[in-house]
Amino acid sequence: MKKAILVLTLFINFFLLSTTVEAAQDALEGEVNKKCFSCHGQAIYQFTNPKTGKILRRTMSRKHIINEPVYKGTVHKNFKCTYCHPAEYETFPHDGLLRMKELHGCIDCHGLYGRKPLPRYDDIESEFQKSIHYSPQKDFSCWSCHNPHTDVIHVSTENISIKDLIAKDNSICLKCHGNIDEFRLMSDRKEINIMKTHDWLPNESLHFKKVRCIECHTEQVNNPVKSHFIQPSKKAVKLCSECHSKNTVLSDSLYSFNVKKSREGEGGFMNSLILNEAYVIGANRNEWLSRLSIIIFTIVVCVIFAHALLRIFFRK
Amino acid sequence: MKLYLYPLWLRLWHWINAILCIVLIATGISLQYSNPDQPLLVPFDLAIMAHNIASAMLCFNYLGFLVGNIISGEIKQYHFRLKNLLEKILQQVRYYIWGMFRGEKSPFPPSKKSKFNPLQRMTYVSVMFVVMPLTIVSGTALLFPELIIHNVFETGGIYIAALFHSAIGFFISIFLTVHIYLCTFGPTIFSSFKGMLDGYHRSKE
Repeated sequence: MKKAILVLTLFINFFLLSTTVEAAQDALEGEVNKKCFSCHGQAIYQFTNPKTGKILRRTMSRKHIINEPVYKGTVHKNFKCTYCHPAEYETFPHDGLLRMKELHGCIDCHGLYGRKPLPRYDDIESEFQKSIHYSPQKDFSCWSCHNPHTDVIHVSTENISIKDLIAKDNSICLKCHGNIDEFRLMSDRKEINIMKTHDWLPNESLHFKKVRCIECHTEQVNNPVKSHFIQPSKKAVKLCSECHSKNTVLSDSLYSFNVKKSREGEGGFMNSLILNEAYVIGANRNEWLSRLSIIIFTIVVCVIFAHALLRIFFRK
Repeated sequence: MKLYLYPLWLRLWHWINAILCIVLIATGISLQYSNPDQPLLVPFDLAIMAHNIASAMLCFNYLGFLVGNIISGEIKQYHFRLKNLLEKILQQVRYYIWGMFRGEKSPFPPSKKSKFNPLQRMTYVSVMFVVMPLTIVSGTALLFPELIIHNVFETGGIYIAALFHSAIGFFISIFLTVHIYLCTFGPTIFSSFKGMLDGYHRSKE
């Protein structure tokens, strides 16, 4: 009995101790981040000049403002800022040379030598390194697309509507591909116009609303790993039937589009209606129906042939 | 024996219908069992256009069939009574699979009053008043896709209409094959075909 009480007491002590340490750690991290947010959480920040004792107010550069409530909604909400940023940033004023230091990347925690219970991103990293975005000379990292201070990653539509997911995912691409200033941070090109480069698409704006960029610009979009292998624009899907024949609802919309478009053409209503070249893609892909019809037809022909033979045989 | 059963309008309708059905079946097979890269019977693009043109003509021809039958009173040839219908049909079937080989006489020889035997009548009623309208309706819907429900339990409505149209078109092709074979049952192999040219039904008796 005494042994049992001892074990129970030890267990309770261990539990209390671990939760206290965890709480203390959280409090400490919150405290450290609080210090960071006191400046980086505001558009205007203030500090006391240690030499003159004057209180100075400065404007925080837009890129360095972190929205604290938004950050606390992300998966990394309990992280100390210095988990990713150099620890020397805890000293203020910050040393100017600190910006030359490489930040920790996602793979430092989510890779082979990272923290063990965390999901591994090695495969994502290797797919990314094959993509058009990767260049060893350029500063293109996970963070170029996924903002660690704001992003909540959705790999399924469990907690987000499809419409919102499409808009969210496309906004990642449009951050650079829809903004020349951002784009030029990564490229030497002086002009971007995605509306012009996609003007071959029927119902262009509808496609932008209903389809994610990665659906056409990656090989396997349903695989969150493979979807990081962004293809060069020349390899992007340009064949309508690639999507519109796999899914019958999409297939129908392409068929309707072709019929309506041909009806709008020259040659009068009747001509354009009957001479349209639309065809229900996929209707002839029903293997089961094709085979069944061939079997039935063969049986009918065999029966006719046998009947004809009997007629010849019994002819008087 | 010769019996004048097929007036000129009916013969005209019949041959136009036959040509259009053959065009529709040939182009339909080209669409169903091939793809643009591997054409079958008719090149794919030509098959789509020819199928659409022939189907529009078939619709007008079908209207001609209805109007001609109503005006001439021939529509009564398609009336049937349910009483003993199955028995009569089985009697005709028995003749085709047994009686004709033993030299028996046809149980329902054609007359001015009743051109068709019970099996023929039921088949023609089904084909002309059920199958043909369904084919025309589903085909017309495919020319006006906005009339079709877009999403039927996560399956495209147009896709379903296309499958239905193909399936029903297939049964018309089966009907045509059997119909042509049965037309060889006259006194000579070609006498029924000749009858549809000059209007006279020929029989052995």
